[in-house]
Amino acid sequence: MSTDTFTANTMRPPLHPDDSLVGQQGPDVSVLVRPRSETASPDVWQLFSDQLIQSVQGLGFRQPDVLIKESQPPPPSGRTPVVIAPGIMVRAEEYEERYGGIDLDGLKRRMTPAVFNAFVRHVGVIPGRPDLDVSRIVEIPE
Amino acid sequence: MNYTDWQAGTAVASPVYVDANVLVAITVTKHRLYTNGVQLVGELLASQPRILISLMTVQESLWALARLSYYDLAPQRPGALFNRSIYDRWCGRIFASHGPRMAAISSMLHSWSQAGITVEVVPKTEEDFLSLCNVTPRYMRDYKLTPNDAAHLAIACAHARTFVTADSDFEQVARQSTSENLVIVHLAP
Repeated sequence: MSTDTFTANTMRPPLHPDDSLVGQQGPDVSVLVRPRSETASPDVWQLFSDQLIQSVQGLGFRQPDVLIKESQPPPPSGRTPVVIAPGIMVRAEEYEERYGGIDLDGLKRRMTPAVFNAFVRHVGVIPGRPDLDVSRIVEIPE
Repeated sequence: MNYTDWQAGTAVASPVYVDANVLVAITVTKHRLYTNGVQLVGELLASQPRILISLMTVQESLWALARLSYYDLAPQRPGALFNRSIYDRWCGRIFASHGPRMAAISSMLHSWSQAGITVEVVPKTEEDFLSLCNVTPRYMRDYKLTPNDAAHLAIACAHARTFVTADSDFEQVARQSTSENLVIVHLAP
């Protein structure tokens, strides 16, 4: 994942043909930026895209809207912190992964604050894989 | 002996012997049993039960965490082999990359205890231990269980009113057993 800051003066050529596309037709310059892999942080690519577009606009080129919309990654919806219990705060996306589908409010009403805190603190701390057989993986070989 | 698939609202009588596979399932977010497991354990903790754990539970949990770490470090097909020889080769990398996760289960049990949940280790006494040693091979023979599963069952029968497990092998055991004292609650997706 790249963390470089891009400006008009320091912009480097793309590291890979698929990383970005810059085209010009008359006075219009279009910029298409996309991450090379799904694991790259959308924030970095958003930053990269914004910086590149600003740099090109700063040089006097007008940006058509359509291509920019196509190139923008999804909005960073999972960044909003959620407080689960005193001292336990997770991002919205982590909340969904760890506590989605669980009746946390119902359990919270039935637990003491200390038990609720101990409960939510430890569940789902390992991402793991969906194809695991927990009955098998606990088996210690002879 | 009764056997039931857990669903929300299922009453779980205390004391409760908890199998390692349940403890592992509630720490692994992407696991297919995760949501049901967390809800089950949440309802269990809300009832302020006596939770029973054995050293085998901890050992099996640690083995599972080591195995999970190996799968993360060397992506494998589902159910890929993980044995002593592989562990010997990967141990250093497992603890270097995932050392903190190896404490996940013990840390969770410690927190429950600190919060007021009774977490007891069984067997407690020498007499108790020797009694379980006698019963375990009988369960191996009668129910065709592995030594560990037979020992888990022996502990549960001797100390618990409920045995919570994700292992469906115990369904057959419950059908054959005439014991009335234990309820096996099966964690299913």
